[in-house]
Amino acid sequence: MLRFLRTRLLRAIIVLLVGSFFAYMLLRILPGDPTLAKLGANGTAGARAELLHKWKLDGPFYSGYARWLRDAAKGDFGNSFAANISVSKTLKQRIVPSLQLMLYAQIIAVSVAVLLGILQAYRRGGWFDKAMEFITSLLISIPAFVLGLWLVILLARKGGFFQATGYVPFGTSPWRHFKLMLLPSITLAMAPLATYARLLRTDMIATLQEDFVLLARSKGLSSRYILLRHGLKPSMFSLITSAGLNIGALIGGSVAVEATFGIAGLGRFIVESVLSREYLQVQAGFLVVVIIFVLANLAVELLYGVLDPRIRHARSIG
Amino acid sequence: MAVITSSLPAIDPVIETAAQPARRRRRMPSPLFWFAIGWLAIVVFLAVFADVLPFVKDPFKNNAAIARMKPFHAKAWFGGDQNGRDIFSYCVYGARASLIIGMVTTALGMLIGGFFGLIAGYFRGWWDTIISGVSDVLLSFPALLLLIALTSFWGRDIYKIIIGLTILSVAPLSRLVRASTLVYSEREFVTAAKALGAKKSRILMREILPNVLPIALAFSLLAVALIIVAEGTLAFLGVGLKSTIASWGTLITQGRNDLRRYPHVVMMPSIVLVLTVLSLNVVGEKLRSRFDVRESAV
Repeated sequence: MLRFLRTRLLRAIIVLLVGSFFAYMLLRILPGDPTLAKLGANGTAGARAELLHKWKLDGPFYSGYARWLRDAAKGDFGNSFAANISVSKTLKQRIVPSLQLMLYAQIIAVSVAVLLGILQAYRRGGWFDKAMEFITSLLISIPAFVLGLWLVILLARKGGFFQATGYVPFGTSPWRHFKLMLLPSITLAMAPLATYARLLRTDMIATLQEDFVLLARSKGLSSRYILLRHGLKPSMFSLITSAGLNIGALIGGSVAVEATFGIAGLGRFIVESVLSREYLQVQAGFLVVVIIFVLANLAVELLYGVLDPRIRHARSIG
Repeated sequence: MAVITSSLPAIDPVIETAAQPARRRRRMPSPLFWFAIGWLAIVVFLAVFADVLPFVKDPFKNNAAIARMKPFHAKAWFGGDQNGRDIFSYCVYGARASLIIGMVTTALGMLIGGFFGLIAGYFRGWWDTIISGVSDVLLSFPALLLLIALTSFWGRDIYKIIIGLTILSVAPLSRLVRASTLVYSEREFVTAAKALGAKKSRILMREILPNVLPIALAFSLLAVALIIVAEGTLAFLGVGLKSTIASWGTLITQGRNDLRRYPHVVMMPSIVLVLTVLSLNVVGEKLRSRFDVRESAV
């Protein structure tokens, strides 16, 4: 287990370093002069050099990167150009709605997918299975930005239960918070839901053909008990892996969902920063996204080890 | 969970095992598959011949007579938008942009990614470590955000969007080709070719490539679907193609401004988009299940 942990941690750190380097270098390789955004066309060469130094964009790239990373580790990403507000402070506010949105979407996707996957595998080839096969391929084919608009057209009414835009923090009013987050979460959940249900169905069908299921059945255990206690756990690996890897896709998808439903989250923060040429915010936003992604993957791999004793065991011997 | 009750009939694993030989028989493609083929044929036909077909009008002409017209009207099949543009014609030209971007990007990505995937999967060792490592890192970046940064700083020309999308498609495609190459490198006919003294280049080009190619082509359809969605999302966020080029995403975004009163401006292009993506997925998935060695019993 220790050896397993060490290799995973090492890989996570490497990806984190390379990813942060990407985030930093993005602004150095992209064309255009970042100081133009702050100084305008008629800034002096001295002021320009000073700004470049302050933003750690001068000199050789490795020393600039080292300085940027050191400050980033302390949570200092500099100040925004236009409003001169601390980037990390804005980031902290923006990160919460995105994380909530992703969490709710994952909860909806995984729980509904588990139910669908079990029912589909239980009567494979039946009418429910066939209907779900079609519905899941349809759900996979609807982009998040289209689904969001469709739901707004179909469900959202002025003063009705479903609301199209807005965000209320959980602390202010949990009820209104969940009410507003319902449509966005459903929108974001649908594509991963379909993927998870398919993965679970395939794995579950394989598990149900194992000898231990036959044994359980010959012991006279009920179908429900066999499906939930014997079948589900060994069939969950693909689903969990996919759910972990999907976090990267969810961040991308949440950009469109946040834009549709007017949620001031991380995705929109990055898009706005890119459009308004807030270079330091772009760097910080990208770094945070990479960190979330790496942590999620690490968590999934550790969970893997907990769920499957074979992985723990094999690694500790080998 | 209340749906599954203990009174349900029992699971019978024996039937599944007995049914195994039946799976070898080729299943008849479903009606959905034929619908998908038909839809794709129509879309491709219209996109190719848009300029010469009499019922496809200029997508940018503002015709006040059809402004805000509801769909399914003889004068404007899909209705008109706020500026009096014919939505049907706009969708046809949008199909052209989507197909060009999707196909060129996939072809380029397959060429580059396929090359690296073949090398990594066949030569293994250091090549594999380096290529897989780089693609792992590339995959750990949220693709859409990278694309947004790229197009908004670099420009929104069609070739720049294609280059951006290509960069992002190289890593997943190379990973896919690598996996298939790994499987085929272990097969007997490769060992036989080696024993006969065939050169490595010959084994790669004549033995492995022809086997990997069908799977790669099946996945290409799925890749085109993903790229069409990515292009639409970019347009939706305001960093997609310039508005001088008709694109489904652009029209959907413009229709958003008057969602309540004229939902059809959003609905018509988005239905076309979804049907196209669905068709590509259905056909790609079907071909993949036929060619993928990892699934069928070898």
